[in-house]
Amino acid sequence: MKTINVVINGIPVQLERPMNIVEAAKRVGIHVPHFCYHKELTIYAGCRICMVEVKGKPRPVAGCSTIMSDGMEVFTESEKVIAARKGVLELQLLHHPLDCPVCDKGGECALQDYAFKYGAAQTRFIENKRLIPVNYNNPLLERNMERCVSCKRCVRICAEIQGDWVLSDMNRGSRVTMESFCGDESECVHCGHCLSNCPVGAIQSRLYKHVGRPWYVDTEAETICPYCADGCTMTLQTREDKVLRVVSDETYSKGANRGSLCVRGRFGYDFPNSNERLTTPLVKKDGYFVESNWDEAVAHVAKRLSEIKSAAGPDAIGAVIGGRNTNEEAYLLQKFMRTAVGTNNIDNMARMGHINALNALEAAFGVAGSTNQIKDIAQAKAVLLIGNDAATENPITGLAIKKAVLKGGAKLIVADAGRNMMTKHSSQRLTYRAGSEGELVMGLINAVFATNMHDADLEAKNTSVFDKVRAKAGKYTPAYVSEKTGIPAEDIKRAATVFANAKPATIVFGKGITATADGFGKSLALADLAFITGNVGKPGGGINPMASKAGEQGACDVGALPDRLPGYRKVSSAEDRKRLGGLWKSELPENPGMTVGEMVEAAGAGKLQAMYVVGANLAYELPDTKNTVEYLKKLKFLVVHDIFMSETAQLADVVFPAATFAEKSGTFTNSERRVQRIAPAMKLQGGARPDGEIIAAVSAKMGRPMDWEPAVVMEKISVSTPIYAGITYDTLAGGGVQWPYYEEMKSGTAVLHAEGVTGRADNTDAGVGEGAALAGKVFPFVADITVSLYHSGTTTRRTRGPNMVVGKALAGMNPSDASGLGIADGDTVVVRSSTGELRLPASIDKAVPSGVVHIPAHFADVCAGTITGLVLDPAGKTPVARYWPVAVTKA
Amino acid sequence: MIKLSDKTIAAIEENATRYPDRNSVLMFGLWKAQEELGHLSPEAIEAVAEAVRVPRAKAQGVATYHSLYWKKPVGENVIMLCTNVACTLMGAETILEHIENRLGIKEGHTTPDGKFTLQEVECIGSCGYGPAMVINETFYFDLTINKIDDILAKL
Amino acid sequence: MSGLEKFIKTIFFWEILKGMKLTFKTMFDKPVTRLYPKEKPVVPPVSRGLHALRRHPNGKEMCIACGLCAAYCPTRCINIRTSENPDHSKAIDVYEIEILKCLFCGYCVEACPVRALTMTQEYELASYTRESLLYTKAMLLANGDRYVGKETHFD
Repeated sequence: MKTINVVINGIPVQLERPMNIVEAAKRVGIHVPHFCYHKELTIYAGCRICMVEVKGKPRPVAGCSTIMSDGMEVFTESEKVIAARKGVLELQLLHHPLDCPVCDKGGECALQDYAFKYGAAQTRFIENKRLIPVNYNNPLLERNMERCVSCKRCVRICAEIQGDWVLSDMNRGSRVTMESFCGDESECVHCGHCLSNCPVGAIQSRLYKHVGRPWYVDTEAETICPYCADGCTMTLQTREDKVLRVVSDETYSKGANRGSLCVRGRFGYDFPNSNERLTTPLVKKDGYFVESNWDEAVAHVAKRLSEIKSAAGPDAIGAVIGGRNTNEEAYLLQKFMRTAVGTNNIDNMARMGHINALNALEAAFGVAGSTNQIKDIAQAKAVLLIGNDAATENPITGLAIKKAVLKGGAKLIVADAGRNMMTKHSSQRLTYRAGSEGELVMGLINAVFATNMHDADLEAKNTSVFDKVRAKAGKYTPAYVSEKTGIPAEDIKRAATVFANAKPATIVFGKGITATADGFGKSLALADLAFITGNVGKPGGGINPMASKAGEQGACDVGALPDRLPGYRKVSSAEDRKRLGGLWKSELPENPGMTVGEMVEAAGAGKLQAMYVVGANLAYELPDTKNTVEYLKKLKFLVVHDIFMSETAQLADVVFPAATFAEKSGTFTNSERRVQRIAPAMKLQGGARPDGEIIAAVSAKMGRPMDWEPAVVMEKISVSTPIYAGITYDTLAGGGVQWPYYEEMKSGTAVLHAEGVTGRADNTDAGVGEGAALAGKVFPFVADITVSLYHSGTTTRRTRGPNMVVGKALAGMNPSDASGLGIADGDTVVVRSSTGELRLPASIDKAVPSGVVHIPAHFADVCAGTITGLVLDPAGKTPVARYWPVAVTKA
Repeated sequence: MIKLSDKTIAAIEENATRYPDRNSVLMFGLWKAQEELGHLSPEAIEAVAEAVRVPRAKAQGVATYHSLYWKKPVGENVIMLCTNVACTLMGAETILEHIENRLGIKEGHTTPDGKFTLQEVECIGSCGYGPAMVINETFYFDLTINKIDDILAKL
Repeated sequence: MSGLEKFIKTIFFWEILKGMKLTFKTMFDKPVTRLYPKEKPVVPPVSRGLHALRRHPNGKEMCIACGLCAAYCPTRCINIRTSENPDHSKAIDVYEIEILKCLFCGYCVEACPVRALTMTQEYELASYTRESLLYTKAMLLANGDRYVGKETHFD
């Protein structure tokens, strides 16, 4: 393309593509003032402050909506321009309340800055200030429309990026206000995009209100959100070692999230400040916790573990690491278990589902990770979202899907058994019967083959794989699948046609697939679907499994798995054991260890005598809470690291106070394989210590000293974990890399298998099982146990923001089901299953399909585990607890 | 929740095909709904938004922007009197005062019997024939006090 | 210089007398120093002594906790903590001036947009403990109350 030569303020600029004056000026470091313009939004040209002078034009033109052409000469600070800007500011300030001293935006406000630079201190107008009451309809945001400059950036970002269109500009002229429909904020998901995008103080966070000012900030740390596995880059601001607020990248370009955050990341930041944090090591004596000191507690743990090891063997000890621990901590714990203790009984909370997806992708394509990256999804022409509510579980992945739909015109197929908030953006919604996910996927494969929509070129190269998949899918005719899933055969055919004909098309799936029976086989079937349609290895294509917590993917990568060493090397491989044993100067145990579920069962059977639990709340997160607690009580010795006195910590013999993400360094690997650094924003609170330091201390006491400083550990990981080769804290600077990293190109791998895939990496023959109907006569409903947008477990229970929006568990029910049972909105219902019952208020929600009860999985008083049983899937040993048959009655 | 009549929905659907972008039929839809329901209550706006398939906030934004969409119930006859410069120079203020006295209501209000609503409006494009006004969809110009009495008596 | 002259100057301590000349001359002048603390100086009203927080005539604190004084302070000796009142107004939880760090430049007073912070003629700030030199909001308000009606720096 021809380059465009322009001159801005006398500086010649070469542009490789046409762009507007604001962006072109940015190239040479010239800031053109603007309110309404934002690079990521449509151009509105309504604020009129970006006026610039163009040579040869009689009047100033708007810099945001004028595209530069060859030879254009622009002046951004000429006399004429300054006069125009002064005029605009005079009009803007006419109605502005000028309450900067008490406005929380004061100090970082665009209007303040421009008024300071150009502003006419005297106004020529005599007019009353408008009086608009402050809008407190939203629990997390306040809207002060007196301060509004009517740039409509909040309206546009809500519609164009968040895709919700909650806000609109009501009325006109000086009476214009940015409001939701009749003040009803029920559609708002509290993502705070409008908050981060308001150039003035019109939209403010109610959590930050009157609490801080920009110059109070002591430390500002760019870090990674610890909640879901999207791995969002965000900035923590602290004052006197308390988190003040979270700010996101205003240019909407940084990180996997491109500056966007969801309600958990933006408003769920205050748990590190909680006064419920543990501060000293606690040792249980005669049934009561006694405050202890670090040396004593560590020595006690080392002594007891050594005793149990020598008495009952190393395999009587097991360890579990939680989903929010860093890669370094997971690595240290598995090394501790494999060297100091000498067992492979180490697992992480990805066992709750994600591990099935990783195993399946490894079996299919040889790499245990998502094939593409999150922002790639926006390029897709069709998206199959199955068993995952991207709008609530992984909101940033949801944004990428919405971008594909809203900007790229992609077709979205939402397949789910329960409520799915992405449905409103979908072109097709498939509601299958819980448990019949596999049949649906196989049905899609069958339909693709039946109409010859598969990739014929790929078939020529991979005849055997295609034949195998074809044979496997043979019996899943539309009629058969329709009978099993309850979806009309026509719909299945239509979905298959849309998916197969769109190039590229991508698959996004989550716990609705992986945490069900035969999750491995179902994930494998999805991988096959992506493969036969020729989408693997293409930007915007591929298959993206969604982990549910920030540290899950990383813990698996660095070997916190009972059957895998770091880098997914098999424990059974003598060669790998020897190589790692050489590095760690130790003989590694060769028998695969137990998974989380097996450990708990073994604890109940008395085979496992001690457990070391780091940051996992087993007594809450595992299904069948009652028995899990019983089994954990049977352990002779239980050590727990946690930031709060969790349900599991209460059962422990020793509790160590751990540091939160805001106080430590480390790395998280998100669902797109991106390894990203977290940075401490404040000092350790109370007596808390990072988990890695505690593990290293116990290990040292047991005769195996380890380095625990995260940067050093990462260097060791890069040596011992082949997939992390070359990744150090230096290479991670500036946004992280997606493993595998290539030294020679100085970059990670955004799209795996771009050079082409050759067949199945593994010759597994796993099927999708029989999708027997879960609901029966005694238990006619299916409980869909999942996370809500506002919570994710122990941490969010101690945050103010999410609790202000959703403070208690509600059972979501379809209106027809509810009226059939005589249940009204807010009535207490009893949800009963074969293992227990829950009492909670009902919420009538037409987004919940008939026959399903939506149960949130994260409230202290309503523990979803009460109504589920511990059933382990034979392939992945994952607890099958996403859907559970229940009966619902009015209390 | 108000349901729009089939006729209104059919009209919206028919008009939607005339525009390259379906959103464009929103104004027409609001107008039809106002014709049917008298004024645009929030429920009516929501019903139109659903019919046109736009977000309800957007529909309310459009409805509140335009002053000829009635957001509050209005009388049978809406008197829209221009009080911009040209009309005022020709005596619109006296006419306004006269109407107010005759109907016994202030500008912006509706008579208790629900027959008339009086509204000042911005320029209606007949500066050459001022004072001018519009009642429902009929245009009146060169107004005098006598003429007003005639017109109002006939309604 | 001759030997005799040198001899005479030596026996009459000429050099010392010469040195004491100023002493003898000023011995009977009025003293220019003051016997502080027996005698206290008169401090001009615009002097920069201890800070004070002022009140409105109705007794309400003037300070709106904008934090500009803290932002402007070159030694960062002002610490303000604020929160939200139930009526959404701004509450000052802590307003402290660490007077040991303060260099009495008066920038904070200059920065105050509502003239809530002023400086007073209070200059005797010595104390035996560090703690008593952390001036809290109550102490600063009390100091302000002492100067009600009196001329202070920025009146």
